[in-house]
Amino acid sequence: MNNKRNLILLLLLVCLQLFVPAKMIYDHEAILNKGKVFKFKTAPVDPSDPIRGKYITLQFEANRFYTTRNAAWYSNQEVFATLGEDKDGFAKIANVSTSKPESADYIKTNIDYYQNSDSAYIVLNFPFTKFYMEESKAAPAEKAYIDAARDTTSVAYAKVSVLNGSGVISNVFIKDIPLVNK
Amino acid sequence: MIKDLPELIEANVISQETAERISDYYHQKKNKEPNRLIAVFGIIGAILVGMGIILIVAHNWDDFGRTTKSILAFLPLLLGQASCAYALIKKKEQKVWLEASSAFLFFSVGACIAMISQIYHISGSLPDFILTWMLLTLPQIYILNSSVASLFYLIGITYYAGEVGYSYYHSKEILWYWLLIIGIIPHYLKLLKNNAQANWAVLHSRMIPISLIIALGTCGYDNEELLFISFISLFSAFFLFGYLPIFRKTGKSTQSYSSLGLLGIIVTLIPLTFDWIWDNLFRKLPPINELVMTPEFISIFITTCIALYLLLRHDHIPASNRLSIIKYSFLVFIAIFLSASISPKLAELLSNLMLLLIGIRIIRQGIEEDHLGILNYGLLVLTTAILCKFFDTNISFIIRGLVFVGLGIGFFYANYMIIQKRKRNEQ
Repeated sequence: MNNKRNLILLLLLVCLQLFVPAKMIYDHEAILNKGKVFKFKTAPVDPSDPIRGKYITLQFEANRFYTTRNAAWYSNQEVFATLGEDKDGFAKIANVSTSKPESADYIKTNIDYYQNSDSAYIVLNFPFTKFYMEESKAAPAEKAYIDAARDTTSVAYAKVSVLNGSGVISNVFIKDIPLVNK
Repeated sequence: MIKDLPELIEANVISQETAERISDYYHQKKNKEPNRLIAVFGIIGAILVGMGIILIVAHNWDDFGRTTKSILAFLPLLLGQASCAYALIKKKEQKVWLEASSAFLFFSVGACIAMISQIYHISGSLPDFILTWMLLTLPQIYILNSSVASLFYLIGITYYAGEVGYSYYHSKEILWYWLLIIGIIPHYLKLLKNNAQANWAVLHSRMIPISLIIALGTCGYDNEELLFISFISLFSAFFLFGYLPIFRKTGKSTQSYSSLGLLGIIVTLIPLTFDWIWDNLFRKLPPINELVMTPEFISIFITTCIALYLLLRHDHIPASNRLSIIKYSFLVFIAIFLSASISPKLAELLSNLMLLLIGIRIIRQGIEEDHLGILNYGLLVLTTAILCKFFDTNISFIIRGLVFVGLGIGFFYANYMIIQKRKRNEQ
């Protein structure tokens, strides 16, 4: 009897253990398939995660939004960043608000810090900063970027699909060459 | 023993029947032993394979497409789940099957979500990842009655507490740890009730207090000094917990909890024998209405309530035990701490006195039990208490030198006395 109950519970656990990763896949596939693609200028750095492996951290250039002095912004505040594009076609922050934008593409994120000075601005954290790579490739990718950075005409950027406030990185390009061939 | 049986029968020490019974007993015992060995190696094997899969996943196979990688992510998970189901249906009498499958499933859950995090470049922090992993594996402990899963879960949540509590300033996420550790308690109590001396129970009895000590440190924010009270209360609770009747039959667990508690109280008291901790202590603290909402105060409240409960309801320490006085440590220490509001010097003096008294108690216990280890432990505590005072104040070198010599002679004398006493008893 006890064993039968345990079997039913195990079945429920199996479903839960399968459901959570499956839901992760489903949600991210939806963003990749239906989301609008933005190109974020970035700088890759190479750290490592003990369990999930090597990745490069992306430091986005367009993380600053100029605002007024003595505004009510604070660190870690949850905000919605509306995205736009500059004249070269790279992503920029068009607006930051505390309420969800009705239309337009936005990212739900938080404030890193608020620089309350003459030219006041807020710096945003992006919810997509890790780009996982095969362990042997992460360090050369960082070097490729450093080399590319010396050449002022070349840029590194991440292609990010954005949908309903979330973003998923699909690839990172240095001089228009993708880091991962998929 | 079996070899000696014919000789014993011949010498009429034991009968033929007794010899056969002895022989049967050892044969049966021998048959049981390989099982235990297989169990240990089976479980270690499953753990290694599981960890290996995690590392192989961490390599991040760029060459495979998203679909292939997703399917590969689910393979070990499905294998682990099938193995657990098989163990429950067919091999429920064999603990090793359950434990090994459970260990494998534990790691394959981690590998699966790690791989999906890679595929979609999910930037979630490491603590978030561990939290999801631990929540998904917690039910395994109860459904499969698995102590391996429970130990790894304990390691996982402790790592989580360390990452969240010590790396991120003022993170409220640490509350998750306290909820997660409650999840393990029913399993641990069941282990203790079955047999507190069994290997799994002993392993839990060692690791749970370590986890709690690490996590309690994360409660320190702006008023870290208050944590001294929390730690003394926690260690007093350990000390009292070790004397519960459930441990009475077993030497090991009692020693592990009560010795850890005693050692913890001593180590926590050492820095408090210095004056710089006490100076300005109460001037820095916020007003009482703000103080009661701080994590430090809440930790004091909870640890002290637990220690008080154990003191009032489960006072089973034999009165003959000289160390039984240690059980009041947390109450005495709270009084000392409050005395700092009147005079920091008084609190410093009382802390020194408390450490000295504990040292003397341990020495007396050593003498009464005729135990050189305990005696020297007590002497060491006493010496530490005196040495700390030494570095704290400007005392002339001559006096310091004389005290050192005195302490050294004290060590010799006390050990000599015990050895002499033993010799007299032998005669």
